[in-house]
Amino acid sequence: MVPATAGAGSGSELRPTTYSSQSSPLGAVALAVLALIGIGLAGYLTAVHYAPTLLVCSNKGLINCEAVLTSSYSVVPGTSIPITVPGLAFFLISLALAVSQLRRPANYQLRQAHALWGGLGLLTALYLVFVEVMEVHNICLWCSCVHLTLLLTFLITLWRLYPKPIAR
Amino acid sequence: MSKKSMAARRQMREAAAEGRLPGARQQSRSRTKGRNYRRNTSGRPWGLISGVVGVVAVFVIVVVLIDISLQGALKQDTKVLPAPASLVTALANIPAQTLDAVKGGAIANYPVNIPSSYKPVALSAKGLPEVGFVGAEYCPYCAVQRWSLIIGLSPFGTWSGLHTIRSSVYDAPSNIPTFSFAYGAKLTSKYLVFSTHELESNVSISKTGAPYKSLQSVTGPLATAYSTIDTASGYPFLDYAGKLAQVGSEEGTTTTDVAALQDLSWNKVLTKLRDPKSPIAQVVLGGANYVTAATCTITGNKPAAVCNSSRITTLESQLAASA
Repeated sequence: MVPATAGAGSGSELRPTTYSSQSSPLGAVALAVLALIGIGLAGYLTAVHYAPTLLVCSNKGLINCEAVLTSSYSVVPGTSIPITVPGLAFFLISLALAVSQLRRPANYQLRQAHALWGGLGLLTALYLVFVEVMEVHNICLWCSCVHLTLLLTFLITLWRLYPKPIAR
Repeated sequence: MSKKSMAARRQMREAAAEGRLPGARQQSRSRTKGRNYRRNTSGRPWGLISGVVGVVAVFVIVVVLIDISLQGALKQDTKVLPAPASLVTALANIPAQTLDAVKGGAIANYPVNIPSSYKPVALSAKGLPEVGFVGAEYCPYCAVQRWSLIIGLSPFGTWSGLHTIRSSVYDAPSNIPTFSFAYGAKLTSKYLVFSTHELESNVSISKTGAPYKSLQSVTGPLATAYSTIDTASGYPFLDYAGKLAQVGSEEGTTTTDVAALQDLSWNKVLTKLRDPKSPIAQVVLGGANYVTAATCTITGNKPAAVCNSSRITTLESQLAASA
């Protein structure tokens, strides 16, 4: 930190301050925890796809996990691969980014990359919410947990982008 | 204020800025660095985060409100479930006497020889004759055709990856229980290759019927045959190795037997298939017999056990004479 010194004269003189480019590790830990939660949820939903008896959820009324998880939107288009598999891959990469930030806390590019990755996840979540409501007309609670995890991930990555490091 | 005093004030301000006033402290070192210094006033992005949360909340609320306003009496069943093994097994083992009793059934539009004027291209893959299917999940006639295909091709191989769906509720006949070939369905056979192309799903974009969401595409010789022979690009379309083709519903213009499948369950359809006189058996099993006969013509009448049966040889003769 460059000590702030007061110049003489008018109060409009600039007071130089700098911020460290290192961010608190708590943010990276939170991102890692969210990624682990996401891995767990995606892994469970993938297992449910192949063994439907594992599903613990309402299947009547508006909240109907089975209707959502068995709709044509539950697989990657044109394939029989459950859409939770790309989700699992997303959270694995998110975990890798979070762990990298713990090891290299001064690396701002990692934070930027994680924010972009988080943004992509949020956009995907918004699309899946749209499909749940508009096409399937049912809500899947487990899917909503995944969407919330994606939203929190993005918000924390945004938080960690500021304050921006000083150009030296 | 006089001009003199204004000038004096200005001089004092300039002197202060340059630190020339008596007793002025030295300028900070960073001030002399000029370009290397940049003030950073960024704090935590509360506004941005609140904005993102707000946008997401508004998005969800708007989507829910739009859905509520669009909800009508009809609700498309979009479930795609693995076909129960017991159902597939039952379809692969329809008793021969039932199939014999139905023979051609209610089928008015069976596969016919492709005229040479269409310059048909022999369809084959992996050294085996290819049967190509072009259809759409929403299509009610494709819905019935798939039952016939599954039953009719069972003597030639083993099915896997079949999924149950329902045809469109907005079409007529509506909500027919059927299967989709789009989710990894496969016929493992040493006699032929069965290629399937579900061009559209059963999800209506307008929530009132057509158009439906695109699903798969068709390319290569089958695409050429489809566009050449089925000039209306309708569904279903079947091409038997470039020798025989079926354009449109196997039942032809009569749709009453197809309508008999509306709103039924798959098990209910299976029950109806046990009665050779039922309208459902007449169209599904009649169609299956024609599928078997057409396939036998391109596999060199293999396997002999089914291709040499009297009902199949009779239908093969009919197909051979068709134009």
